[in-house]
Amino acid sequence: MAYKVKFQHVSKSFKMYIKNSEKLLELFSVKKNIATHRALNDISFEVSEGDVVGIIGLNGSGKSTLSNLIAGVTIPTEGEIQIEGTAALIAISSGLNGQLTGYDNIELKGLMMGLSKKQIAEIRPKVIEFAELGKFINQPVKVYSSGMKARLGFAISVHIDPDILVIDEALSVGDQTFTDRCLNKINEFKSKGKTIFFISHSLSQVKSFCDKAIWLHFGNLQEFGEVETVISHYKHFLATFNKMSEQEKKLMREEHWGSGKIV
Amino acid sequence: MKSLRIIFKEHIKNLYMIFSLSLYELKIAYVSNRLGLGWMVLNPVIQIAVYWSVFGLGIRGGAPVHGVPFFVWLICGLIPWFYTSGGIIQGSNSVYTKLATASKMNFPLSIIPTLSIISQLYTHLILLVVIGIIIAFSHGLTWMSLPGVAFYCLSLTCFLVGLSFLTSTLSTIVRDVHLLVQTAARMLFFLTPVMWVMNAKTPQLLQDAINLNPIYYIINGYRSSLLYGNLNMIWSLHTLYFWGITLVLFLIGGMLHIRLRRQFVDYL
Repeated sequence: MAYKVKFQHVSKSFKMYIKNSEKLLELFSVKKNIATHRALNDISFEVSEGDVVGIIGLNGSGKSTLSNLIAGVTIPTEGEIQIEGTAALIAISSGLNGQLTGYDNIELKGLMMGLSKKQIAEIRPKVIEFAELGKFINQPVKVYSSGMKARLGFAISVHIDPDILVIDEALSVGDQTFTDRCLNKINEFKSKGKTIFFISHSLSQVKSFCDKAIWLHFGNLQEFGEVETVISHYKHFLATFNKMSEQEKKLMREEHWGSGKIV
Repeated sequence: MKSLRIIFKEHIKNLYMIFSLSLYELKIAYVSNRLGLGWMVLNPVIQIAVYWSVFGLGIRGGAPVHGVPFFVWLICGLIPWFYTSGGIIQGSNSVYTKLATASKMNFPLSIIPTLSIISQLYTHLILLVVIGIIIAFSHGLTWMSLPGVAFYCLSLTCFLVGLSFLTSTLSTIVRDVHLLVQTAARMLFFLTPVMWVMNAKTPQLLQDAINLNPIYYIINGYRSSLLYGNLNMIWSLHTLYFWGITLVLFLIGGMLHIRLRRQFVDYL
């Protein structure tokens, strides 16, 4: 089957500026040694149409960086990414404007995704219904609970109808009913042949949503395959990792990330 | 040049988005207040009233400028100035304020400076109609004013967009730049003869410096077209100088924007 998302030897490094002046100097391409953090290292994989891929790993292993890359929000430092179609990213802080009401946010996000006023008017009632905001729809988003924000963000992105959906921890704040509704929606997406990436710390959620999984380990692709296999390996790793002493965990982290040395 | 081509292509492709989002921005800026769109006119009216009473009635004692009532002379300079200062400040802030939303999707970042200027332009056009009515009644308006105002309005818009590419990129990366731009805009207000008249008593050095100020060219242009329907300045070297600066701004700003925009999210 044709691929939807293809990563070829993708790496992403962040520069760790200490002072603002360093940013300025770099602007005018004055070479300076700046510490970098390699968030992702030589990642290659291919995902086909209709796949639901879970992304798992410890904190700081590069999950969100990977999701940003898939959504086209950042570009890789090295390597090549090929994406077929439009991608939408749903994160907890899902790009909603806190000053605006939920109603206006739907319009803003729709306009920014290039929808016409007519299309926005069409999806608006569906979004409001799906997000179950009730009377809060005319309140500014800053007063929303985190669950409401996540619901609104999810509802907007889903109704804009992207080809590829990247969900970054956005469901972890929702309650069971909302998660179930999202599951239905995700399955509907799946049956339409769309690709979904699902990032979560909840292994049971990953297991129920996904059919494939990517395990990131300190920026490296540890394993990519069937969700059952990857999760059982990851669980095994977690068990040993949790048994380690703090000293050993620290050593392991430094081994992969370095201890802040200048590259 | 390559950067400009990329930016131009993105603008053509997203033309609809530029207009819908700039209108939306205008709506959001005013709708949250009780008086709504009334502020669009009320805000400049209050400022004009203050400048008129302090400079016109206070300092000048109500004396006219070259036979034109000071009030009319003042608004012909102040209205384009409001657009200029709003454009400079909003344009510089435009990318930074939109980034949180825009970075969560694959949004064409290059249209952000343009749409923030366009959104200011709407207010400016409304005020121009108001000013046209005032002049028609108090002083008489010739049809020759129309092409002049259109030309200077277009020039100013291009200048502001070019400048915004430069300032918005820099101020997204280093926030201090935005404060610098705000201060510079405030200084520019007094360094441009918007509400004082340059005459023979002005020191030669200051006169030369002011003649190099591109905004002075614009304010002067608005005044001569609105008050006298005089278009002579369009055919002068000043026009060439002004568009030269605008082109340089586009070249540098566009290059920086394209080179750095992919990193914007990492800077956030």
